[in-house]
Amino acid sequence: MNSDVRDILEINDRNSPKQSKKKAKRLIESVKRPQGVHREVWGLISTDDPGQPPLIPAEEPKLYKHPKAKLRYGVRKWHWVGFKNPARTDSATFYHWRCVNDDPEKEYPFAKYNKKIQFQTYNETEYNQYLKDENWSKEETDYLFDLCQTYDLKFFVIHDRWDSSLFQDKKRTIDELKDRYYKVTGLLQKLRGVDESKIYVFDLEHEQKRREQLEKLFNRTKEQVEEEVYLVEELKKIEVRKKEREKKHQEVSKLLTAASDLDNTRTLNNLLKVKQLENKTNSINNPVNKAQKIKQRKNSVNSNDGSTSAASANKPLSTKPSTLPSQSENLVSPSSVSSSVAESKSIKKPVVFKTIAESAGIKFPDTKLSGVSLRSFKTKLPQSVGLKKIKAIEQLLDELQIEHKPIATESVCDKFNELRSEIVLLYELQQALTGCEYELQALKHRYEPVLTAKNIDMSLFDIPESNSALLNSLTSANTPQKRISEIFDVSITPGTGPLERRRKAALNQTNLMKRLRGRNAS
Amino acid sequence: MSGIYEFSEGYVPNSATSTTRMKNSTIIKPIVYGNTAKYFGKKREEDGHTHEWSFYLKPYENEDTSGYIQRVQIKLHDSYPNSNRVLTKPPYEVHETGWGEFEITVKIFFADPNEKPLTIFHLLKLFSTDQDVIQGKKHLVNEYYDEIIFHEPSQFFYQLLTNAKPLTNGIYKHDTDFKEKELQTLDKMENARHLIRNEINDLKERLKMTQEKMNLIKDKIETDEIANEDTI
Repeated sequence: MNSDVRDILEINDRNSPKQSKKKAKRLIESVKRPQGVHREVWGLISTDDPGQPPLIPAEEPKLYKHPKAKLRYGVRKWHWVGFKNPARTDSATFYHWRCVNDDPEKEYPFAKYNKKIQFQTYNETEYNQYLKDENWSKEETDYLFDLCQTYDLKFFVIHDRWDSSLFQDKKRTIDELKDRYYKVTGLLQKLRGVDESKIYVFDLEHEQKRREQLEKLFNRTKEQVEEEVYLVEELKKIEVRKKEREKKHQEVSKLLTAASDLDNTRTLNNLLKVKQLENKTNSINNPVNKAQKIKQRKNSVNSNDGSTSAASANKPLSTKPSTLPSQSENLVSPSSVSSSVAESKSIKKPVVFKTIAESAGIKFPDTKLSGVSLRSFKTKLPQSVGLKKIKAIEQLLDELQIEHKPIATESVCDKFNELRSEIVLLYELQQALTGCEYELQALKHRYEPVLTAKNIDMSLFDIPESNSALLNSLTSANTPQKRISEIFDVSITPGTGPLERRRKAALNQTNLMKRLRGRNAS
Repeated sequence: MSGIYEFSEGYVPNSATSTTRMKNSTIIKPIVYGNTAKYFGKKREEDGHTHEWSFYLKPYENEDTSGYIQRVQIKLHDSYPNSNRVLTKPPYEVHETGWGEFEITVKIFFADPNEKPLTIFHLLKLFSTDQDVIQGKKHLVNEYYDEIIFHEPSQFFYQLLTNAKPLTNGIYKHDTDFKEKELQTLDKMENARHLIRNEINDLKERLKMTQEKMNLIKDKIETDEIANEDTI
């Protein structure tokens, strides 16, 4: 019968595979029904496998129920007795239940909570000597102290109960009452020899101001609250923008230092390379030729410098166009040397070359991979270079008529990386310049009225135009000469994000459509 | 294709020489790879092919690469039958016909099984703006120079790399004069760099001036405000 019940309830039997075997054994192992128990009852209770949980829950152990509280002392007797409260002034007798076992002499336990404030009192002489005040008569002071005592120094109540009609309707604010009270008490305490530091000093002015401010705060209208919230938000935004501007300034100064470093390290590198080539002994075609070339290069470097010590860091930054052809000519010579070297074993790369690429512009990953790699891997741009910069680089390479993927010799790779790094530097400088110019214009517009009022010449603040040598070789004679940097489409003024551009494009399109429709109609 | 390849002759896996690397040694093997293409003159009827092209990979120097290159796998477009061409001996070339340009993936497996294979991507170029090429009179050549850098090869591999024998006794040359091209490229780059440097300096100057002007305005405003405060 149990198994039937289990089937109905769909309790899974643990020992189901053994059931068939158990059936044979059932007759042997089952417990016989005791005589007192009815057949049906026994059918419900008994199970084939005593290990299974019973269907009918057995009595739970008493542990899980709330145990009865075990009292230590059993039942006690309580008496209805009268008691006196020493805190009361009238010694009235009240009645309450008290346990027999309690100490009858114990003071009423709640009496100790009746705390009273210590009041200072004064007599006539003391008053006349120390406590005289223009604004307060003796009657008023007495009245004040009386009220304080009655109402336990609850000044709000005292102020409310203050009857000004007694004193020619002189209105007293809470602060005035407090001030008078604390002054008097403080003086008296000092007289009585209480420690100075423990005397409470009441600052009337401060309290009055504070109260005023609270009133104002409480009485603000809804519009005022909104205005305040709005102003606070604006302030936060301005702070954020200020921080961004400062960051930009820092970046700009970094770029400037990078640009000047570029020039400095360049001549340094030339010299280093000179020294290294001098030290080289293998795979040099014509030592005599080379020596001549090195001398030529040195001279050009010196002439560019304008000083004999070419390794000095503070050199003038002007690169005159006249020195260009001579320099480029001389710098071709190391490349010719290196191309011949490419046919034999590798050269040790001059370490300083790396610094140009790293200081600004692009940082190329320079891990020499153990194992096999292709030279053109060196020219792969790292992921940090954004899409815009990549586009700008490609644009400029097209203008300069350089292949996007040049021939992959070592020197070409190095030069290519450096070139691209410089292109990126140029791009960043252009961005910074545009930003600065924008800021300058903004400042100008903001302060134009003020400064013209002061008769300051506004032309001082005109944005400087450039007079540098324009790149004629880049563009053909027909098109107007433009600088490389203008090729970049740099637009970072706020309000020209991709959304703005799309909007403008959409506007242009609608205008165009209108014009076309107008033309068709007419 | 069976998955097991025979190693090139001569490579005997020897634990000492195959695992120890030659420290601080780098071997550079320059290679040339690219494709030529020629227009038929007309569109072929049966499959629409218009060009015959050949892709090749060869060393820059006249040497036998089978010493250190075990095999070269050239993967063509999927529309080609047997698109994965495997070559174990030079010349590593594929001659085919077709009608469109696609990217060829080349995987070079080396004699040293510990070295990972090198992957090169090359865009097969068929079309050009040159009139002669369009008409089918001239071949179009699109080849690149590159260098395989073996950094710290194992001792045995090092031996293989350095003892490559010359391939042919005859003249060995490439279609493009790479030396010339290199010089030209370097030249152009130098010029470009000069121009850019000039630009950079120019921008730097302008930037400095702009900043100075900004500071000037700010100073004037500050003194202005101070003056105003004083008067008030």
